[in-house]
Amino acid sequence: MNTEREFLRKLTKAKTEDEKTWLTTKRLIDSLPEDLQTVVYSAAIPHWFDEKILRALNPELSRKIKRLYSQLKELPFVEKYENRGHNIHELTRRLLLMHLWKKQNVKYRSLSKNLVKFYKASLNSNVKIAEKKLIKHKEQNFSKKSIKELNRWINANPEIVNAISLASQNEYLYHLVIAQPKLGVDGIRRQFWIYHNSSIFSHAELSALIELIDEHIVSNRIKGSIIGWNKFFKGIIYFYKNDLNNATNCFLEVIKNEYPDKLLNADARFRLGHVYTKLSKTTKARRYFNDALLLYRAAKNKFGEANCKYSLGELHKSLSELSKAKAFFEQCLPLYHDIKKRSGEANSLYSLGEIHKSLSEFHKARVYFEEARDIYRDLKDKINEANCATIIGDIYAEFSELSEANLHYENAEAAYRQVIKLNRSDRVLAYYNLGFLLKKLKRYEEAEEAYRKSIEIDSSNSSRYVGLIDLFRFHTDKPGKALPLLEKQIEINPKDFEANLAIASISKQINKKLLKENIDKARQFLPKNDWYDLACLESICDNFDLAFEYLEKATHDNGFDSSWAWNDPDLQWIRDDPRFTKIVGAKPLL
Amino acid sequence: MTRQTPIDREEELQIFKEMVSGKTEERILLIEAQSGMGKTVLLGEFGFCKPKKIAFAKIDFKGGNTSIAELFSRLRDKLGGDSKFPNLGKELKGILTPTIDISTNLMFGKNQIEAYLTGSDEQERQIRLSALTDAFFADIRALGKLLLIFDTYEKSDESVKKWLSDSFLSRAQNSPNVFVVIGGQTVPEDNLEWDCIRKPLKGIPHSHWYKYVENNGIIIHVEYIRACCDIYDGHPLKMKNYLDGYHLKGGRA
Repeated sequence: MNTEREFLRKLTKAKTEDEKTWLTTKRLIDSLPEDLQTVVYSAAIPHWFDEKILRALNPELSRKIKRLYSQLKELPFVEKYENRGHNIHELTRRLLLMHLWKKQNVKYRSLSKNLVKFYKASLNSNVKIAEKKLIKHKEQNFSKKSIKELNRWINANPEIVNAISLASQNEYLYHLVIAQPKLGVDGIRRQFWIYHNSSIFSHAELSALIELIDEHIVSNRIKGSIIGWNKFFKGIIYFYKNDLNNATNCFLEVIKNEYPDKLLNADARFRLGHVYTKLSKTTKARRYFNDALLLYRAAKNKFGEANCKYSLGELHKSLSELSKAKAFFEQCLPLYHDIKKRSGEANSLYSLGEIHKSLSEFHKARVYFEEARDIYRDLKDKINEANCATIIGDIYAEFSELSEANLHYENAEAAYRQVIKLNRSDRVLAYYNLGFLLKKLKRYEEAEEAYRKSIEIDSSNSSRYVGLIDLFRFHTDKPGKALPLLEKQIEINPKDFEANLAIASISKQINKKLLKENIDKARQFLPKNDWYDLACLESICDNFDLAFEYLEKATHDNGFDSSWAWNDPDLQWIRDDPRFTKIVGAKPLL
Repeated sequence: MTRQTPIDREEELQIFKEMVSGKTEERILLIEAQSGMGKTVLLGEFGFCKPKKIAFAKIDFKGGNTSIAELFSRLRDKLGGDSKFPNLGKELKGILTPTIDISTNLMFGKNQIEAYLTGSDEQERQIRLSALTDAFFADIRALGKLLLIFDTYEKSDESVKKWLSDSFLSRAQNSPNVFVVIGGQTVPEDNLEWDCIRKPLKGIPHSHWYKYVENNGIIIHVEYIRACCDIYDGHPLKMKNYLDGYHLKGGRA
């Protein structure tokens, strides 16, 4: 009895909750028969166990495992794990692992090794069965019937599906990184990228692996660059979820820690460059792309190098620094070609086409677009193939070679319609781009229909409304039809100054009335150095002097387009003033 | 060896029973507690003592890995399969993209829903998810009374958390035949779109542990039970470990 008092006194004196919990847990385990104790400790290593897993963990107890498993299930800290057997309650498991790692490190690693062996064998044998099944269905081109049959097979074979599931693959890597750290790090990094690059990527699988690895990191069981990769992929997930602050923090932390892994250091800087691009912080973006470029080059990683150059090209293009952009696209093109990254090659060719077109070098532009189109065609990338065909058509039209232009437009239309027919997720873009093409061809009713389809599928995306608004405002005599679409844009993004500006402009044009609410909102949300839109706003408000002051400043911006200024309905109220021609230049002939 | 005895959660069981028999306005029950407080056992009890004629599915997010697609799929399977979900099937119609590619990346077992929810960007995914959620609720509204229990909410993927706490619960609020229980170390935060009963679990008082030792044939002085219960604030897992350990030691430390 006194000893019990002593035990309770110890419990009271324990400094931490973990210490308190461990005292009773350990006493319970110590009181179990020796073989059951062994099984308890081993069962803490995996996240779940069944008879097979317990046998793999404790081959020396193989003959007794059935009985020991039954006894294990009766312990207060063992619970059921859906479809997979049982698990040690996480509170107890964490303490058991802490104890094992600290006191019996060799045992911990050898148990992990046993599990690696088990999972490897299980994955290999079951993958073979599944692959055999799959080949048959591949031969049938995954017809409706074949997929139905395959689903039935999946439902009837939960053991096989469980064995090769992503959860099992993640579990294998979780143990591998302890059993064979170097192999484990490589495997985890590879698996991270597989999830990331998968056409059916969902954050859940990547997050699940990240969490598993975090378990080891928090308990100081692993060190080195794998910690950086884990953080890096957390950043990737934040980036895709548009949580740019957290993405920035993750990438910066990786960079700050200077892990001895060239690719990690380069990748983190490259991704950070993209975060800053999205945040319109172009100076920082450029700095990180350049840093990444040097690191990729040092690591002799041509793909990384090409991607950095392409991203720098895009960055300069967005700033209308065309000659710099052109130089980068010209540099990344042969790199992509050398390493046979054909989509990178096509994208570079397309971008070069755009630059030459902007510089009115139409012949060169057309050649680039044609080359890009051919690669997209090879890659079965119908939308980009169609986009190229549209622009090639535009270039022919520019030189009044209308029959040739129409031929390309027809090809583009056919390609968009093929994508739409496939009913894939990219049909939204196909509808939208088809609307754009049909508008160009003055088939306004069909264009309206295509635009409306893309809005119908993607109604919460503000940019989907732009094409139809443009159609009503600039290509019909019913600009008022754009008003409900603009209202919708404001509903999606209440800070949309362009939509407020457009509503004010159309209302003034139709009703000769100035809508104060929209004017105020446009004024509130317009960026302070957006001189062109400020000029539009003051033009609508009849503040002529201010409008010209801003317009003059706008002409110094890289992207200023004088021919658009002559057509922009927002500037119609100041166009008759002689100052307009003086600032913008003479009206273009066409 | 002592048997796992359902722990004393009479108050919570009463709240649950009243909710599923329609005596409370709320049809959403959130059970929040730290690890080892007996949430899973309690949620298991809910499944056990629910009215017989109510359809029922329980999902445990333990282990992560559950994407929204996977969640839809598991719910559909547990609630009667394809034939009970005609609207969901209609929404997925035409999605034939084979998503099973084990030769390159071992993605075997991915389902049709996963393919449907794989859009080119986040926005596209959200649109599809919304359409799928509407179809799913159209189907479950036709199932009669239905109880859905979600356990280990804190381990669910961020996108699943967001979906459950926004789209799912707001639609459940507007589905008079649907009852939802969510348990976890964290649970969805309050939202104007839905009402709920929020029940944090506390430690189990001394009196229950006296019954526990009696039922399990453990001979121990009440003074020790009281002392341990005070040290652990009645934390169920820690108390059980203590009492079972004491018992197995033959009453000697």
